[in-house]
Amino acid sequence: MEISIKHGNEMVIALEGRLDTLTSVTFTETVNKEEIKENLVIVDMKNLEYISSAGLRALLALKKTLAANKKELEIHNLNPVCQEVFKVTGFNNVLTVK
Amino acid sequence: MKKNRKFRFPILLKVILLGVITSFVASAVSIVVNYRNTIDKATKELDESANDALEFSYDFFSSGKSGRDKNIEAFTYVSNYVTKAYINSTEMQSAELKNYPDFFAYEDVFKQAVPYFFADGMFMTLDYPDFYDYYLRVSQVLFTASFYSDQVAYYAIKDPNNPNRFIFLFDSRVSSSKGRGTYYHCPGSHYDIKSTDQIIDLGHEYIKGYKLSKYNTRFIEIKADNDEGGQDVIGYLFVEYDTSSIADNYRQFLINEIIIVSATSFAVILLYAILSYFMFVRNINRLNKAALDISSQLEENKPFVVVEPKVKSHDEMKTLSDSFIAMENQITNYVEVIKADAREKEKINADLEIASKIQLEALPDPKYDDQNTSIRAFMKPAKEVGGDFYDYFYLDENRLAIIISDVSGKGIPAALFMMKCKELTKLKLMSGLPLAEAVKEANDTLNINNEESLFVTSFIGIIDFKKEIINFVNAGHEKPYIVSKGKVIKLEGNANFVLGGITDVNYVEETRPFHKGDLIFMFTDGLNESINDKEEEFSYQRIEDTLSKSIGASLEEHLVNMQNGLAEFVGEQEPFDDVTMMIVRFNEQKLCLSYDQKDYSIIQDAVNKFELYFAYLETERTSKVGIILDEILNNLISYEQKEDLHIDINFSMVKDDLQIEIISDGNDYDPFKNNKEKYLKDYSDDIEEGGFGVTLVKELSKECKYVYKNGHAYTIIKL
Repeated sequence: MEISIKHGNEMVIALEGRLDTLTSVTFTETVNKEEIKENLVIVDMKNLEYISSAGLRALLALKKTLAANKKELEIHNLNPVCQEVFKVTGFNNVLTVK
Repeated sequence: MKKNRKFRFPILLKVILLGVITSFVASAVSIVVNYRNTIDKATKELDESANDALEFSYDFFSSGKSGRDKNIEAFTYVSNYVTKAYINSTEMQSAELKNYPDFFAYEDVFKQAVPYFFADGMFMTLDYPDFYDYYLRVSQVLFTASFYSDQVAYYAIKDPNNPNRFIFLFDSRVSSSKGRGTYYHCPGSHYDIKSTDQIIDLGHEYIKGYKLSKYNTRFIEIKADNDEGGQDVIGYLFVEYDTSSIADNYRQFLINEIIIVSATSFAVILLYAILSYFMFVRNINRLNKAALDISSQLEENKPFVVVEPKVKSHDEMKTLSDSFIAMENQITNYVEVIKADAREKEKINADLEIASKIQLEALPDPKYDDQNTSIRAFMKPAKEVGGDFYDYFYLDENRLAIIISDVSGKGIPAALFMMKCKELTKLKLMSGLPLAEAVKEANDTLNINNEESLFVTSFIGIIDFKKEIINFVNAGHEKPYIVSKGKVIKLEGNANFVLGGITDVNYVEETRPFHKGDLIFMFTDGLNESINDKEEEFSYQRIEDTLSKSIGASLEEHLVNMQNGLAEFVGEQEPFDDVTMMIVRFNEQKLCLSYDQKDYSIIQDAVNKFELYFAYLETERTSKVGIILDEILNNLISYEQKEDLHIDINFSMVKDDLQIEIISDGNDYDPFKNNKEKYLKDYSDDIEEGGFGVTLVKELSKECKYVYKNGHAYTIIKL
């Protein structure tokens, strides 16, 4: 999986490939290394093939960390499979999906 | 080209150098030639003047009877007088000149021994009149000898006690005394005749030569009658001259001469150079400057401008200059032509690129998957456009036509012919004719108007997925390989004639079994006939070996292994032909994976292999399979205690559904029963992060179940 991070008015984490058991560890490690100054973090899933429960867990953990610091998390550009995953787990109720 | 307007040897310098060298050589030759002659001539002149001097003085000595007698009396008297005094004087006898380096000291001794006697008579006493008279006579003769030549003249007698010794008495008063003679000036001084001194016969009546050690001498003997009626030699009249200084004198003369000649030559050469410059060197320089200007224009890539050399003379330089200008004008024209050519070529290249693109676009996708078949193709033209092509298309829902061809020749003609072939073959096959007849008709049509005599080798196969067979016609093409159940088999068969060669050929159609899981590898001669630097061909054998090594690998890997094998084999050799390969698999619709290690990396491996094998499935379903595999395998690996866990994963198509079986030899644990579905409704700080796996598997699949039997746990999912 490829992770690219851009800082600016908001921090954008663009994901490419699969967010699964193996890669969610990398995702968490990479994001934890970043110093987040922005108030909004966007996870761009435009090029993400799919997300498994391990990926959902990583996103939820990120959401918790940001919420504790009064920062927002948004998930952008979900493909149909990811949309379905969010829908059946109720993640679209918990995370801001755009 | 390095611009260099400063020459080490410009023409003008060469002209000057040439003048200097030639004049030097000419004067040197003339000097050397004249040197010997001049010296010989001068020596001879001196010899003769010595003779003349003696002749004159002897004539003077002998003139008139009384004159002669008086002279003989005078010479006899002087000789006797000195001889007597000399013999009587013990002092004189013992006096050696070398003991009297002072000339006058020696003279004093002599004066004491021989009174009244002076060498040059300047202080001649008049108290002794007889002697004075005699002396005058002798000195007049000597004077005559000196007068007629620029010589030293002496009167000498032989020592009465020593016949090998001359004693000098008088010399001429007008001796030029050039450093010689002084030694002998002194009366009474003597010269011992050495063994090297000898009398030389000059062939003259009375003049003889005497070669003294240093000087050339001539002498005559003064004789007087004796009492016995004969004659005695009473003394010798010498003239002495030095020829050694002739060469010295002449050398000095030559040095002067050379200086003068050189100075004159230099002036002449300078004049010559100046005239040369104005008459032709200047024009050469002008021409040269024009040529340099042109070359710097070319170097700096400036637009070509004609430079006219300003040659105004009416000679060869003018024609050269005119030719130069004519040449420049021609270059200007050529530059235009070349530019036009370049533009044209650029256009052709662009056209070729478009042609190449059109050609590639005419070919079907190099990657194709459906539930029956997966196809991968590779094509690398040696030039922009090539003569190879591959094609595949369904004739009906169960029959797939696969074609690979190689048109003779390269470039545009081959490409155009290739397009014709491709479309024609497809048209004939689609028309519903049996394979052999379709090929025959395609061949006949290709032969019409084929004035270029192009032809094509072609392998045309039809795979019937229902009957599990392949029909094929091989029209002079490379034999493909079938890989079936772990074996690599060369598809030998009837060698038919190429297409487009001659009309009315009957083609033989053959049939072979082609089962699920089998694959066929087709290629053009660019592969097997590629050569390495040892002129060896890649050959069927290497293709076969590479295919054997690739058994079990994906279709992509098959092609990559073949390309790598070829690249490694040919090394840096330039490819001489197009290389085209196509591999077609009869999809078994079944994939079995087996893992012996309990490691998260198997998840990725399983997902990758599945995606490659079932590439024809729609993306959404493939993604869901990825999620499901991730959840179930993650659970197995995370919670199973058994260290040497064995996991089998089987994928198969059951009608339109994909069935996944995950079988492990671990504990009996039903994930679907023991886990509740988890669904989030609201966000709160204490939501548990995990536990969505089972939910996802259930929601994304059509059906999922768990069975434990014979010590194995089966998770079966359909979607």
